[in-house]
Amino acid sequence: MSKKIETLFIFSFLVLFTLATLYPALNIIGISLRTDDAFQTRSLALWTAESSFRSYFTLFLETDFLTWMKNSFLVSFVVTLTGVVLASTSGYALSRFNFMGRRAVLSSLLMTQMFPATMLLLPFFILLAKLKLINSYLGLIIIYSSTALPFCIWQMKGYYDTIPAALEEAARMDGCSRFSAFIKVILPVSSPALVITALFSFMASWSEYVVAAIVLQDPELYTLPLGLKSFQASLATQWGLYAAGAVVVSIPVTILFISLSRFLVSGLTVGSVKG
Amino acid sequence: MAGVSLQAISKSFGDNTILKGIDVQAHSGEFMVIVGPSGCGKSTLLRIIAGLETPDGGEVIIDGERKNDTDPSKREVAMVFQNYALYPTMTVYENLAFSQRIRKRSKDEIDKRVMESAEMLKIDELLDRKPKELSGGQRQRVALGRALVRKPKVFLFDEPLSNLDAKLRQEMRLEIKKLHTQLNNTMIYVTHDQTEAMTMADRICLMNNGIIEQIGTPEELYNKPANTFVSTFIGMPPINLIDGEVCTENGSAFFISDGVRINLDKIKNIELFKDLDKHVIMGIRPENLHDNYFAEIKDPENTIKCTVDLVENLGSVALVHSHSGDAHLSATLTTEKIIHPGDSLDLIVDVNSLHFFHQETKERIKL
Repeated sequence: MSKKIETLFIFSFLVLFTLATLYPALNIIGISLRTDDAFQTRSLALWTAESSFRSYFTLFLETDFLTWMKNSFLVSFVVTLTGVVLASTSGYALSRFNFMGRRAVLSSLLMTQMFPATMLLLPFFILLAKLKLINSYLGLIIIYSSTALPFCIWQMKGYYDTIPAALEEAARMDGCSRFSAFIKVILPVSSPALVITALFSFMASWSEYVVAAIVLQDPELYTLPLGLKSFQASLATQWGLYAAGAVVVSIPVTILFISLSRFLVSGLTVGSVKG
Repeated sequence: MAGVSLQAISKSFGDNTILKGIDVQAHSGEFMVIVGPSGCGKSTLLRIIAGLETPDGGEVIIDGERKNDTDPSKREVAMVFQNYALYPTMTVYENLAFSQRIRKRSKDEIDKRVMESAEMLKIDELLDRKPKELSGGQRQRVALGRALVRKPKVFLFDEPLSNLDAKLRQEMRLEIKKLHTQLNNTMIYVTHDQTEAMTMADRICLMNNGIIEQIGTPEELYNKPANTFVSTFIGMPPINLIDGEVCTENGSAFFISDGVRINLDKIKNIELFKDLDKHVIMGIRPENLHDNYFAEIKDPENTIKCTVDLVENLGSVALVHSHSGDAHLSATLTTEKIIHPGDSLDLIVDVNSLHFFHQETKERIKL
């Protein structure tokens, strides 16, 4: 009997949280399908008599949404690639090699995580202005990468630490150089950590607003969050358009999560060594 | 086939000196076992041969060539690791083929080599499986196979059986030995297990604290241990060591200690004792002590009267721990007579199998 009550309790708890999670998502989909004045509605019905895809048509055909999307993809792709390449290699170096300054590097990487991004806005702005990188993707990419990298490096290092050194030693005995042992043996084993790094880097740039708002001033260069914000005018906000944009923006992230989740398996090294 | 010669190898990690000038040679086609307690430097020595560690000093010579600065990938040695170190994302076939793919061999050649090794180790049915789907014994076979596929000049084994259960360990011991007979390659095998060393080695190199205590055949190490360390390390159950003195009484030589008195007249070169310090350590292996009850010829002068402390029944024999005065004696006795703790027991000493060591240097006194 107590087992049943426990199950009931757990399920009610889960249902409650699922509802709390689903409500905003359903609400935003609902708003995106209605006319602009439906913002205040409390109804959760996705499709009503007044519903239409008008906001979506407007979004794609009458705004620069596709350009912003292209910009966001470009920035996020480069940041993800940089994140994965740099975090996987530097994490490996920090995990496997004992060089002078290793500890200092590790703690300074950790220290950078103590400052909130908004606190770094001014120094970033000055730095980019001096480098003449304001209003350029390169500036944005540098900032996104540098803020995402410390976490990614630490988590890659942490993952490599769990991989027995015997694995790459075996590869080296089998004829690999140090580098090819890393590429052919260690990286495939590290795919869960690489996926986390990729997701983290992608997310850090895909939905970022504050930094983008300072670096990018030309509407042609806007990324999605900046573009969406531009729907919010001082006198009237196009909530339907805004909601439709929000729904479309979340689609790539959802696809990315679902497609990469199969790599997020624990215990990939099971069976390689006794343990 | 290729021999391996290590000359004056030294290695430290920080302030910790691991190897203190090691000189050892594994002859071509020889099965050499490097044995010693944990932390004695045996694995470091093996890793130096493999090229996974660089020695601070000394020469590593494989097949007549100095290999100190050669990358592990180019040394033509294969290594089997203690924890298997199989590539977890690859199937057994891919694990075996990996080294050949790196060397860009043709597909047919790779297939041929993999199948040859897989059949030899009876893992040909497992080729499509991933390491996680294999049992410990199967994984160890794959690890062996991976070394075999390479057809290296020298095989290195780093405690390959220590993760297996006792039964499997014995099976694999035979398997590896059989492999050596078949291939006749030079094999260097590191273990802390004296049984593995005794059963598998052509020659044993016994290490302790970064130095070599003795190199020799298993028989040499067992019958003529160079010092007390070797005598206690080799042989299971371990040898009994008793501190005492050699004295002459009425023209006869005796070993005397608290509770033990042995007539040494039967030892041929007994006069050698005369030049030595009288204080010695006497060693007697448990299997060289016999129960007076079963002895056909009694030898009262060489019988020690003991009190039994503990009996470990091992099935065919019993390991009887007893004491006489200060001397503690273990003896492997037949289980025909039931012995209980507290019983008195007369143990006859096989005088010709006694070992004597200097009390100070702990070195063997050659008789």
